[in-house]
Amino acid sequence: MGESKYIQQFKKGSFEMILLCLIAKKETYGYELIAELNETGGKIFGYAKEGTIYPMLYRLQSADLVQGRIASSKANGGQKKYYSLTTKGRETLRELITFWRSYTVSVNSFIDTVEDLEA
Amino acid sequence: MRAEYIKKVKQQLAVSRQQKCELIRDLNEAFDSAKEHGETEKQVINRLGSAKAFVNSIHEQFGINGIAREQRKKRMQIGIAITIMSISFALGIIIRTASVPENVIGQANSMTSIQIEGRAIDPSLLFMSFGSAALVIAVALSIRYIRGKRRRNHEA
Repeated sequence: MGESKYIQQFKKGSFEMILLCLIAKKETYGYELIAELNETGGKIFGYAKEGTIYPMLYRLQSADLVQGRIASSKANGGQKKYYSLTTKGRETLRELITFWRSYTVSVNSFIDTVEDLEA
Repeated sequence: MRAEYIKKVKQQLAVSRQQKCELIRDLNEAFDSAKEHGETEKQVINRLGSAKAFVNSIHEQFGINGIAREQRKKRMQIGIAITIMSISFALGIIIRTASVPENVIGQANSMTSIQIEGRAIDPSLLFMSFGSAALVIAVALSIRYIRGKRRRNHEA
């Protein structure tokens, strides 16, 4: 059975913030980003694919939150696009994290009132 | 295998030229990076899904409605067939009305030196046949369009 649309909405809303977190850690490229995403969050978020991640990265880029730099790759002889956060991206992520923390506290306080449902 | 996959993606992508170039570049990079990490082309394709699934996912992320696009394409095909049919029938009728009666050579008052060696194909007939073919195609396309629409309504 597929997951409910509510769960899908949660995931959709937080995915771009997660990408920003991964890019904030270090300058990274598509494959590495997807591998890390799947390794850490694959079980909960479902395994991400290029078809989903690329358009998100383009959106973050056009919103000027992320910047891309194309450089030759010594490892495979081709080129790689390395992503890093812009100043605006860093500020936005900080803002999102602050909001997320207070958001979860608030949501948890509602959840705590109906905890008996989980029994 | 990789070239074939990228070619199919390229053909099906309905995004701007710039976005398409960027996506194809990134897709090539994905294959290169995967190879670097020991993945085979087959494994990458299994992970990405079919070219159609990959394109659908891109379209979905860009907010492009694939079904609406297909419907628009089909409507356009019907429109083109109807236009060709109308023009062909109109030209056929015009040529037939404007042509001189059979067995009349020109409208000269005196002798002419025109020699008829063979019977040319009647152009009006040619246009009428062309128009009829376009009519058949337009009807077939319309039936396909209506059936598809009904099926989707039924599924919804």
